Amino acid sequence: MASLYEVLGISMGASCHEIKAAYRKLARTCHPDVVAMNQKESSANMFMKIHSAYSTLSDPDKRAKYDRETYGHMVMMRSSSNMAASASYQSFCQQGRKWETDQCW
Amino acid sequence: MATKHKGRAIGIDLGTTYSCVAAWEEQNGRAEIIVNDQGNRTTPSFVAFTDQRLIGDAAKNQAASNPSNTIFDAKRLIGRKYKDPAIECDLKLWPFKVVSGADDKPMIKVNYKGKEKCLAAEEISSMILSKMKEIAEAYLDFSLKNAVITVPAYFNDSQRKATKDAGVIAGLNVMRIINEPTAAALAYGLQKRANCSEKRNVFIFDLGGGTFDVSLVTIEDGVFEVKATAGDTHLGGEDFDNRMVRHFVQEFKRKNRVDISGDPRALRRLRNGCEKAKRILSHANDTTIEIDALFQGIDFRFSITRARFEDLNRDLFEKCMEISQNCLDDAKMEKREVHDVVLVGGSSRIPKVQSLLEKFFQRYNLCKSINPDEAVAYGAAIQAAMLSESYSIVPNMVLVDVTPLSLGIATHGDLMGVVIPRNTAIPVKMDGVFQTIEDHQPTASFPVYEGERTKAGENNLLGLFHLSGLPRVPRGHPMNVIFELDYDGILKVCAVDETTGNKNGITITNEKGRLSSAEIKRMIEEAAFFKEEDKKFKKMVKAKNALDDYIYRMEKAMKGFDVSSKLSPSEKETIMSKFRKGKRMLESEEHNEAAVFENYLKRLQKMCQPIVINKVRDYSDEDTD
Repeated sequence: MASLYEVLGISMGASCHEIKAAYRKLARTCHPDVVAMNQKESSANMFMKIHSAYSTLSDPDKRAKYDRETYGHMVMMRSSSNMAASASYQSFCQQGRKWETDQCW
Repeated sequence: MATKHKGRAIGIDLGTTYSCVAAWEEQNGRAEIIVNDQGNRTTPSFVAFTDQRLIGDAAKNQAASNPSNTIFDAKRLIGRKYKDPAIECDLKLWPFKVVSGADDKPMIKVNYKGKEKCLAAEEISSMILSKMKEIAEAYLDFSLKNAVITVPAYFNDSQRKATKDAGVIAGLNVMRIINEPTAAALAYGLQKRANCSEKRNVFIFDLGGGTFDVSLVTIEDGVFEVKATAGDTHLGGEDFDNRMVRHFVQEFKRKNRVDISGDPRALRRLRNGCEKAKRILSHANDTTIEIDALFQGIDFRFSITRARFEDLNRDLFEKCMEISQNCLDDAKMEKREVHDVVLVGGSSRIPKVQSLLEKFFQRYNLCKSINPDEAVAYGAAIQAAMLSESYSIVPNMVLVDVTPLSLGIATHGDLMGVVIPRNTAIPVKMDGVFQTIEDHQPTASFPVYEGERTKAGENNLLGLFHLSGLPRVPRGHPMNVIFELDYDGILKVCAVDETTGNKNGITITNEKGRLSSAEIKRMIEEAAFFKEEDKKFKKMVKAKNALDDYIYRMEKAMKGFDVSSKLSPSEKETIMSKFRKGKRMLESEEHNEAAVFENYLKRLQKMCQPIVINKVRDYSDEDTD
């Protein structure tokens, strides 16, 4: 599976500005509104991937978390934030929301 | 760019009180607001029933003389239940009758040609939409199908779908339902920020006739990203009018000891007076409402100051500011980060609203440079052009909108388990894990809701589905629930039991209270019937006019010159009696078939032509010169 950086076509060291610019460029070409009718389905999937990559990477906290989870210590050097490191275990536990459903019968 | 929607397309702002239509003009590189047959750029969202059907200006103009059959505010009813608390108060104020139909759907009762008819809000809206379509077709000289229709950003799923149904009944291919403030942002971006590539945070403040919306939109490099949206689908100019009406009913009662609240005609006239006064108070400090013989021959004459008007609506204005704050909070943005505050909607002209907003943003440069009545239709036309293949030169822009309400599933204890939070960009696909609550639970039910209340039951139920065949395991068995919201706002929900691979899902299309395809088909037929009746009526009016005109000219001719050389006195008398009969026919309400008048005209012509043909022609030529 492609990394979020690959989805946006940027390097791992990309600045916040570069991330946004890449997203906008892709949005203008991949949004379901701008493609042909028969490609809407695939373009919607593509756009969702792009948007979710963008929303993760444009948020410094989420980006740091993603980097840690995906690349482990390798990237810790880049985003050397103490606070982020201590939160890593916790965030793993918080992954995915869980609820109980009502029983029907 | 290959096949998109074929054919030209228009944008329609379907408002609570007024509607507006626009089309993209390629040669000019901008959208054009289309004027209606009366020369107005907005058309009242009114439909009236008499011996004919009237839509728009014609319907509003006769509202005072026919209050119980003049329907307005259909947008306040659309997609709602009869028992909805939001319309409870409206029901008392409306001069027309609304009853509860199947599935608690509100139905409007009207008297059309002496017969009682029950119409859904969708049908009234569809009539307005078909009028807007006709206006556009007349201007473009082109038969149209494709349209983008706007709705308040804070409309829920059933209100949006009902609006879409209204479009289908009107014979439109609704390419997209877009949010009003977003459309306004498109208009603003294109008109005012077309050459600006740096980032602008634009706050759209849209206070219209019936609804209030705010949206925070970031414009950068032609990408319009909605950051957050908030609003109230029942707050607007109508409510300000209501407050004034209520105030004056009391004043009138105090002064004259009569209560006009039971008289729909008086209330309609008073309401029209209040609407006018409200507009005047946006530039004057006080005004006087004068209505002759409002009730039991008593004249109505009261003045109102701007301060009084503001006082009557203080809480409503303050509510607008609260909602604005919520929107900023949702967008996680500070007031000072907002570059432009754009005013949209007629009620944004109210000075108090503007001053509160200036105080709120601590700035004095609200953007009033786009037309607040037309911006939404303008933006819809831009979006329509972008979605249609018929235009080669369209603005290179992309709109990324958000879902205004959270979507989720009711969990144990009627708690709302949100899967897609509000203000998430669409299209989107998100999932959440839900667990069984009992040991060996065979089936789990998934009621899908939208809304912000913690208690799921207080939110809007979209649909329900079950996942059966769960393995016999202790409680806490996980099931993955996937929510997928596509670019058209269609929600698909699917639950998967990962252990067995069991799957079940639902596409939210046809929940209760919504029109079934059979009903829509019936309504399309009904719309065709109305159209046919309208045509018949027009034809009859034309035939009547032709007959009237002929009798008038011939009578004049007979008097004007000596016909004795061609007619004997008895022949003349026969002809004159035929004319009198014709006039009686025109005056009586008995005949409503065009053919009757047409045939009569032919008979008259046959009778007169051989005798006076040349003379009359000479005479009428002189007459017209």
